[in-house]
Amino acid sequence: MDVLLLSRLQFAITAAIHFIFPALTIGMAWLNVVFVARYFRSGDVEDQKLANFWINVFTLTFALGVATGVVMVFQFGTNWGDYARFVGDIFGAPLAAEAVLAFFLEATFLGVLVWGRNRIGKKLFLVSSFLVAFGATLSAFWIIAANSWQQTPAGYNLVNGRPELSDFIAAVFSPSTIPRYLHTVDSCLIAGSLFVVGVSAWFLLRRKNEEFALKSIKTALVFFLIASLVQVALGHLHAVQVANTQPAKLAAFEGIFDTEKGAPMLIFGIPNEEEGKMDVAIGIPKLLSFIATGDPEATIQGLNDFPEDVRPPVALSFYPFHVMFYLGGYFILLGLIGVFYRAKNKLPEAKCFLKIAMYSIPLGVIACELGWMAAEMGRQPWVVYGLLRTADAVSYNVPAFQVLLSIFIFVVLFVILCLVYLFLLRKKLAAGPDGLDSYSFDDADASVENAVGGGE
Amino acid sequence: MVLQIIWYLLVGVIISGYAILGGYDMGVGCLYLFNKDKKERAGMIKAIGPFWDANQVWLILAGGAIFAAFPFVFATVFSGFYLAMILVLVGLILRTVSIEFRAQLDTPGWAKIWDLAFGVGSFIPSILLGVAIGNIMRGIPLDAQTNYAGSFWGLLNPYSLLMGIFSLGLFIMQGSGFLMITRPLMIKKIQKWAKNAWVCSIALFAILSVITLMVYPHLAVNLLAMPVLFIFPLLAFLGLAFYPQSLKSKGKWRPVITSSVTLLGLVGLVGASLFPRLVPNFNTVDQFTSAFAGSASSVHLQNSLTAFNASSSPLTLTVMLIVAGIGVPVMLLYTIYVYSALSKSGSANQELDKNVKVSV
Repeated sequence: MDVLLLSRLQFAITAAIHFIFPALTIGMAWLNVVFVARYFRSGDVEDQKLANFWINVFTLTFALGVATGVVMVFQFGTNWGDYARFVGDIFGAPLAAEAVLAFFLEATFLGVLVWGRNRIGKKLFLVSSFLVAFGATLSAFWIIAANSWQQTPAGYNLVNGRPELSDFIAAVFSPSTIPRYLHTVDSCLIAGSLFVVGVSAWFLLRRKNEEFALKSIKTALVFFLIASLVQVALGHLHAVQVANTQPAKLAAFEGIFDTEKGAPMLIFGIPNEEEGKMDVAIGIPKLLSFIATGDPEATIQGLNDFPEDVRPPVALSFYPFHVMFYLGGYFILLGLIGVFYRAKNKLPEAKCFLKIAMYSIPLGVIACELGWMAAEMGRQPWVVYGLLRTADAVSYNVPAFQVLLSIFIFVVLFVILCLVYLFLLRKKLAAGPDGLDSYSFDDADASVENAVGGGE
Repeated sequence: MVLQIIWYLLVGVIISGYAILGGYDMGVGCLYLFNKDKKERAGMIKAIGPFWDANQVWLILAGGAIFAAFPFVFATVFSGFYLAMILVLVGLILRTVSIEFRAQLDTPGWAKIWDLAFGVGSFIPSILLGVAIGNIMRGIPLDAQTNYAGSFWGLLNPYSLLMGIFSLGLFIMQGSGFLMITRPLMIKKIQKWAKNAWVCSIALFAILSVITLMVYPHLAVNLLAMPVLFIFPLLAFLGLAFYPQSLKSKGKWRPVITSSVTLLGLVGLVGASLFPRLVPNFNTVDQFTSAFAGSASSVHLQNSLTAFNASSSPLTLTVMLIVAGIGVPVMLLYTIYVYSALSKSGSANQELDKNVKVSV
């Protein structure tokens, strides 16, 4: 087996599993702020329970994100040694900045939010929930900034063929950073709020804790619809940026093999990479040219006009991109229907909608994963666009057997963790907002102390 | 030059931060395996509950800082120590999830699984991080591309394994010190654990010092050339010497301070004896020795990764210094604030903030 293939596989698997959790928690964190703020204003016990419930669900999810995320930074060293050497002057800085500026903030105040909430005032409770959300969102910025530099490297000089930093701001705010950051964070807001909508729908369908569920779903639905609508503009912004900076990627996303004037936007298609054409292509004429450039007659460069060795894999870019695109449309529709029922005050009776919303929970995460997959596949064969090929980035000194072994370990471990996560999530939901507070510090602690003290 | 030296020092500071803060919750995790009392176990996990996550960020920060400041070291060490590093990651993952998972269900079988995972997940990194430092100290074989040229088994040499047990002992001392503050009612058990860990640590400190001087005399060159550096082994020794006494003293936070001083001294000692090398090339150890013997030669630096040949550009180092200069003080401020806010209402934790102010 080939070390390159194995290391790519390992990165794909670990990153895909890791991304599930931040995709959920960034959105949930901001909803938590809203829930805690409501409790802060009302001081109502029910509002407190509601906030605590969602914080507990958030914390469980967040822990999985932390656990699976530890692997990510170190993997650049273990499996991608030549990558680390090549990009080290630029790529390490945002990762270190993430730890100093964002990760500490998140971790410290999550500790307060979860383990300390019975020992602090309402004000610090609110501030902590805000700082956790802020830290998570800031953390995402540094990761996306680092990843965007791989897509559209900037702010460097080549010294002996290796990029050296010449302008930190330009490197962090590379041409794709802002569009990709906004697009990604908004997709996380969609996924996180859809999760809260879906879980609340589950409660409403079972006629359990209805008051709690109704309050939650009402807030989350508005959040979800706004995020989905904003995504239209953000997705567009990102698409225009891809058209400008990564034409081969755009062609792969859209299934454009032959350079054409007035290129169509495909609604459905089956790419045939061997023959360099679309087997099936149903599209709206001239729309792609118009969206990408503002001119319906503009020329879009097709894949066949790129040298063969810089063409991204088409099917693996085209399908994820299109499915993500449709999911985006579906979210708007779902949000509109939900807000319609909300306005009519008929959410508890809208069984069909609630069922669909419940089964849609995974779709938010799936959309995030597909977008990530399209972005990374569309960048191939480069790991740093135009500068370093993925094939030249791997740690060739690591024996293939060891990589195989680590993939095996990670897959077994991560699958077990995901199953336990789902199991515990079910338990948590079944217990509902009135369930035991598993983190309560004071009471349990006091009883432990008393019991121990009494024994001595 | 100056920037590279500053970053060499900063990496040392970050590693010390991890040894002191991450060290205590790793130590608590290891001790966890020795304690069969269910209620005490729950108390131990709750003691580190609010803090462990931020403590572990120090390790992530160490990884990020080495990547940013010394990318060639990052690539060489982590790809070279591949399987060991994967095992450390598995340990960290296990302990992260088990703290969370364990809190969720209250059945004995469930608690058993995650208690074990938590203990094992703390043990593995506690030992392997020491093994890694042992290997760095004696040097590893590097090829022309500065990749690790040895095998996995080559990393498990006696010197490094002893160093692994040494780091385990130190973390347990540190963890016991933390528990002395937060779990005053378990004091007798803690004192016993702390004593055992101390005996093991001081014995290994002596043995490893002797082996180092006899087999790797190049590590003494810097100290002999600049005697002020003897402050580091002295600190380590004093910390170790006063530790047993501190366990009996009235100041609850004294054990943690003495063991933190030991850890600081040892990290300083490693840094001082390696400087400017970050990853010495084992193949050139002979040249080191001859340099020690007085034959003027700087060949030994050429094939090792040093602060000067493995660093990022001056601009990157400057930018990172600014980021750290803004980020670290802010982080320390809110960390201290959180420790004191949490200890105000909890009687058991009242002394925690004092401890942090000193040890950070």
